[in-house]
This record gives sequence, C-alpha cells and structure tokens, in this order.
Amino acid sequence: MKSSKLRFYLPFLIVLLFGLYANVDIVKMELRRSHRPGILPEIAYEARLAPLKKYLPRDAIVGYVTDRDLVGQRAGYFFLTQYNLPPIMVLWGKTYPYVIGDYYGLDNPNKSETADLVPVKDFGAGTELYRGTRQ
Amino acid sequence: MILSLIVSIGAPIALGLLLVRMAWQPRLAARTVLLQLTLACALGIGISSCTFFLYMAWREPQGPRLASVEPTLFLCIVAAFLAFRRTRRSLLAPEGRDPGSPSGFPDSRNSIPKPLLVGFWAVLACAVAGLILCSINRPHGAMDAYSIWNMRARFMFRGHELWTRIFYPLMSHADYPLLLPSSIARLWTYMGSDTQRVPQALAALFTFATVAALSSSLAVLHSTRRGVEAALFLLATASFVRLGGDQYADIPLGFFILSTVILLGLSDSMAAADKSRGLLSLGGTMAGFAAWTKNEGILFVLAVTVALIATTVIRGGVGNTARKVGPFLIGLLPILLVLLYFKVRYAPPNDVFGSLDLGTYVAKLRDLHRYRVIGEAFCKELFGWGNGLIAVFGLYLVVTGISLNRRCATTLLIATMALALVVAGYFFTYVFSPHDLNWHLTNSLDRLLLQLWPTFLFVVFLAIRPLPRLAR
Repeated sequence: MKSSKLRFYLPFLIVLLFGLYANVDIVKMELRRSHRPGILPEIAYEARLAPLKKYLPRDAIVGYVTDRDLVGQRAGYFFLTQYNLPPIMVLWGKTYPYVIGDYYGLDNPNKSETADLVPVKDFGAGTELYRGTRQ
Repeated sequence: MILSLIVSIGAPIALGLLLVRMAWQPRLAARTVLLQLTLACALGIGISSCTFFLYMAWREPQGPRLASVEPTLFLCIVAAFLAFRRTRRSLLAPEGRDPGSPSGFPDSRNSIPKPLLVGFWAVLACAVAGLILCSINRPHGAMDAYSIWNMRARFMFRGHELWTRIFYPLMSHADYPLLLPSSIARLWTYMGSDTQRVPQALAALFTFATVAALSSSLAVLHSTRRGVEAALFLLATASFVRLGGDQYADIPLGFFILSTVILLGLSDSMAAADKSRGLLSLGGTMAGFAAWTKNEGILFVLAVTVALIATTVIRGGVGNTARKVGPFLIGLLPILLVLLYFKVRYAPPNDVFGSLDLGTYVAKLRDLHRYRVIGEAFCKELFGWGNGLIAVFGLYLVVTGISLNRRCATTLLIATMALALVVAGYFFTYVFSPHDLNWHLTNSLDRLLLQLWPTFLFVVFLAIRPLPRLAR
C-alpha cells in the first residue's frame, strides 16, 4: 500500500518542486533586475532619438556608425536605433545621404569613423547627424 | 475605441471558435472548453494576421478602412467553410453518428489530490508573476523582439506606403514570415496607437495558451493528472517562461507545432472517419500558421506532411492516404498560398540558404569537423536542458514507466517522425550555415529545441502508462 501511494504522489511531487524552484528563481531574478537604478536603454533611446526623428524626413534612409567596441553592444544599439525610427530606415555604414553618429563616450567620444563626414546637427546625448558619402 | 477593440479581438476569436466548433463538437467539460478556446484564439490570431497582411499588400491609399474590409473577409471565410462542408457531406454521406469526443484511456485517473492541485496553481502563479516582471523589465522585449518582430510591426503600422521597407535585404531577417508583426500591427491599427501592451499581451497569450493546450489536450486524450504534470514540466522550463516574456517568436511557433499534433491526435482518436476530417483540416491550418510564424515552421510543414503520408501508407495502405492527407492539405493550402505570395512578392533570399552555391554546399557537407561541433552542441544542450530539468524528467519517467497507448499509436508515430525530421533539418541547417558555426549554435540552438519541447512533452505524456489505482 505504501509503495502504491508513493507511485501516486512521487512523480507529481518531483515535477512540482522543480517547477516551483525554477519559477521562484525567475521571479527573484526579475525582481533584482527591476531594482537596478537607471533608465532602460530602450526607453532612453526612444527619448534620445526623438528630436532626430522629427528632423529627418519620414522616407529617409540613413547610415549608422558608433564608437562602441564590443560586437554584441554595437549590434544591440544599432537595432535600438533602427527600432526607434520607423518608417525612417537605418542601415549600417556611411554610404547614405545622411549618417547617424551614435556615441557612447559622451565626454570624450571616439569620432574617428566619422572624421571624413560633414556634420549637419548635434542633437546632444551622443547623437549627431552627418552628411553621408553618397548624396 | 471600445467597439474597435471588440472587433479587433472578439471577431477573430469568434471566427476561430466557430471553425473549431464546426470541426469538433465534444461533450461540454472544462478540459474540452479550454482546449477549444485555446485553439480558437490561435486560429483567430493566425487568420487575422493573414487578412491584415493581404489588406496591407492590396490596399489603395484612399481605399476602404480595415474595420470595413475585415468583417467582410471573415464572413467570406465562414461562407467558404460552410459551403465546403455541405458539398463534402453531400458527396460522402456519412454512415453514422460519432460520439464527438474521444474518451481517452478507459481507466484514466482524473482526480488530483487537493494539495497537489494547490501546488500546481502556485507554480502557475509564479510563472505569471515571472512573465509580468519580464514585461515590466523589458517592455519592448529582448533583442530579437525589437530587432525583428516589433520593429517590423512598427513599419507596418507607421510606414503606410513605406511598410515594404522591412523587406529590404540589408534589414535583419527580412525574409521571415509575418504572423507576429502582422498581428501586432493589426491591433495597433484598430487601437490607433503602437502601445507596447499589444506585443506583451500576445506574448503572454501564446505562452499560457501553450500550457493550456498541452494540459487540456492530454486531459482529453489521456488523463487530467498527466495533463497537469506535463504542464508543470513545461512551466518548470525556465527558458520557456523567460522567452515568452522576452516576446520571442519561438513560443508562438512552438504553440502552432503543438496544436498541429494535438489536432492530429484528436482526429486519430475519433471513431468515425468523417468526423476526423474537420480536425485534420484544422491541423493543416495550424501547421500553415507555424510556417507563417517563422521559417523553421516551413521545415515543420514538410516534416509533418511526410510523416503523415508515410504513417498512413504504413498503417492503412495507399487507399487510406488520400482520405487522411487530403483534408490536412486542404486546411494547409490557404495559408501556404499566403506564405507563397509573401515569399515570391516580398521576401528577399534567406540568409542561410540564399547565399551559398553548390560547391560550398558540397564542401560543407563533407566537412566532418562541422558534424562533430554540431553534435557536441546538441548533446550539451540536451543534457543541460532546463538547468537539470532533463534529469528530473528522467527520474519522473523511471518512477511512472512508459507503455504505448495503442489508441493514439498513429499520432505518436506521426509526431515522433515529424520531430525527428525537424531535428535532422535543424542539424543540417547548421551544417550548411554561412555564419560562424559556434556563434550560430550559441545564439539559436536552445531556442530551436524549445520550439519542439511542448510537442515532445505531449508525445511522451501521451505514451506514459496510466496511473496505478491508489489503494485505500
């Protein structure tokens, strides 16, 4: 009788305990994350790019360069820029009529990639617009 | 605003429910109602995403508004379905009445002790809390969500005549199908603003619809107890809840793959062949939506069609194949036509298969080192699955034991064959991958396997032996 009770309850208990452990872990991790100071990059970028979006025509196709070094970060912030500007299209590189310079180092940004471009407007917070290499 | 919300959400679900009810009229019970509602929601979302895409593709600048076009299209779908059903009935003249509901194991144990049930609700509540916190912490989703799905939805909503820019070859994954972006943009169009609540709600819906479909289908085909246990295993997969909250398309894709197999299982369990045809058609439609969600879904459509044909030939002879496969293909065809139109008219070549020539294919195929790297990555992923969940799963199976449920043997065969073919397809996609192999594996393999995980659970739990009778 003991053995049949064990077979009845044990499988359920095994998965129940593991399920609780896994989900409590997610909740704890997300709670820790929600207490981190600072604004989310997605939200910050929306505000940062708003004046640029107003300035550009809605059918513009613009290039993108950044001074971020890490490959993952470069891609992440490129996609954030692309995500916040539709229907303006943002593509990697400088061979477009306009180019967005997205600078991380606000005090001392590395502008070597845009040194050959003509500045159009500085929007502050590390966002600048240039004339690209193709008009 | 309220009226447009009712139309935008209520109309597709009502349409979905109507189609599900036409195909399957089981006895009313909590498990069948839950399963029907879940399937209806997904069906409604899938159909409305197709109609919205076609509306975007064919609309004129000064043409009629979505709110006036869509109800007409929905009525046309219902009329076409009714006409098809009537024609089929008059041609086939059914021989007898079907009980309309598979009974599952005759000796299935449906009762769950209260403390265990409370435990299940506690896990579910934690998962809901986890998903809500994910949505608060990452309101726009993780990188794949905002670089692909939500961005494309923004182009569709904000772009007007410029919406086709998402298909520019230099855009990220420009050839991916549009079920998710189209569904999001459609709801934004009705609401008049691109609020993040919409992709968040859709992500939550698909996440918990997968849990509901898995548990309720097993409750119908096997026992409530096994349904709840399978749902617990799915909820215990931390990456499942997290990717749901991160608004990844792998969760909806996993849902549509699971729904296809569930509908094949339900049709398999029907006594009268005539009754199972509607379910097979819906299964085909769900498979079509898998292909309309992500490119991996196209591989699933091929795999499940091959598995269905092979299984019916093996088990029923060639004559039986047309009766089984025909309805499935009829359900699949409309969605495949939409997908074909999208691929031919808009989508650029795929980044994995579009850039290789025959010589490179052959060279990669003969490179044994690639097989070793991919094989190791698959093994590593499987053994580390869910932070030790696979070990718990193994222990669980040892305690319960597995025996083949003969009633659903055909479904088990189809699903196992389809899953094996899809895994083989994924393996060879990595073999041919033009990207850095390690990068490609690290960034996608866990998600590819997660797409198949709910269906794998369904198959295993369907095969598990019924519970022993508890001694009193």
